[in-house]
Amino acid sequence: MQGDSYCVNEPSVISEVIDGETIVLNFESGHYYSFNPSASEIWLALAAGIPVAATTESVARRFAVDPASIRAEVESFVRRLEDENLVRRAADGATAAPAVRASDDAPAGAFSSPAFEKFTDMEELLLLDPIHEVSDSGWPRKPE
Amino acid sequence: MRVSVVLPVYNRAHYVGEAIESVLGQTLPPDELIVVDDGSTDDSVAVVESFARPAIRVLRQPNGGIGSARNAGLRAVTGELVAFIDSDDLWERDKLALQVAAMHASDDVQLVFGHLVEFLSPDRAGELAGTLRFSTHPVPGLIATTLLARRSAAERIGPFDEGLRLGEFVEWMGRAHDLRLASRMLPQTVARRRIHGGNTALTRSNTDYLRAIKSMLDRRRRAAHGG
Repeated sequence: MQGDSYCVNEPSVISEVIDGETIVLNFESGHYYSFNPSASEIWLALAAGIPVAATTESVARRFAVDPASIRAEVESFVRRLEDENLVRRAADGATAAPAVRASDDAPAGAFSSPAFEKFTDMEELLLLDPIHEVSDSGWPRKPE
Repeated sequence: MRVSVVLPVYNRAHYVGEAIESVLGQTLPPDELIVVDDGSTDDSVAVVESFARPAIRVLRQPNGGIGSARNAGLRAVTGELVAFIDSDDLWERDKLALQVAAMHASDDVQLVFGHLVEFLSPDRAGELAGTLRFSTHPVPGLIATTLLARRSAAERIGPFDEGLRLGEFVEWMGRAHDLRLASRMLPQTVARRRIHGGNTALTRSNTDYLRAIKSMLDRRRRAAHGG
């Protein structure tokens, strides 16, 4: 998994960092999420096309910990993101060159395991409110 | 109980007439219909004024968005019950009768919704067929057009967030949810939502949904900390 890249499951999933909090919304499920700091770092790195191994290192640097000590946690968190259909594995060669992230220098405080709070209470409203574009036909596929 | 209807309109001259007809044609007509023109630059106001009925009031304001227009309408209503309809939607003929009966049946109920079907606008059906997903079978309609609220409940919830051009109803209902206001979902279809490709949710950036959610989360955290 460490060599894999992921991308945000667009267009169903949208996210934004607002006042330091990463909010993620999945229009397909009507569920929304608030990410803790280490989860936010992982999310931003994956969204930038950075493979899991480099994401792990970037997060380790941010929190001043040994990459080996957080590798399993990062991988398990990426699997959770996949289970929630928030990210999908990027097709080989489909990812843009990973952007160099500017935030790597400032320490981000003590590391705690990546986690999100998941909310399902507004499901009916969020499913109905946007008029869904047909996304299945436009689902990105591995280039032939 | 007197019933007021708030209809915000912004550049929907082609559709607003049908929306108004669906309000005036109710088996239980409302006591007043307040149309809030949100700074339209097309013929919307002329269409509205062509209806010239004592029950219709037209308010005009500079463009401020749907939340701002609904708020202007809410400030003007005189009824104990208030309903909304968006300018491109249609009510079924017995919408108000069914919902007013539900309000009479229980003093506890504060918000009454009903089911909703969506239809492709006939003027756009050819070009849009197959490009948008919509439901022609009734689904629970948790949108402004399907709501009848006690005015006192709407006042407790407070005004729509005028900073949001999208997701403003979700954010408003989030507050209703947190106040634990009793609501009912009628099994009958009360409204039809027009799909015309120019629907707000398709033409605005989705990030307003995230801001609506962030604002909901912050409010709940403040409440949880007694702030």
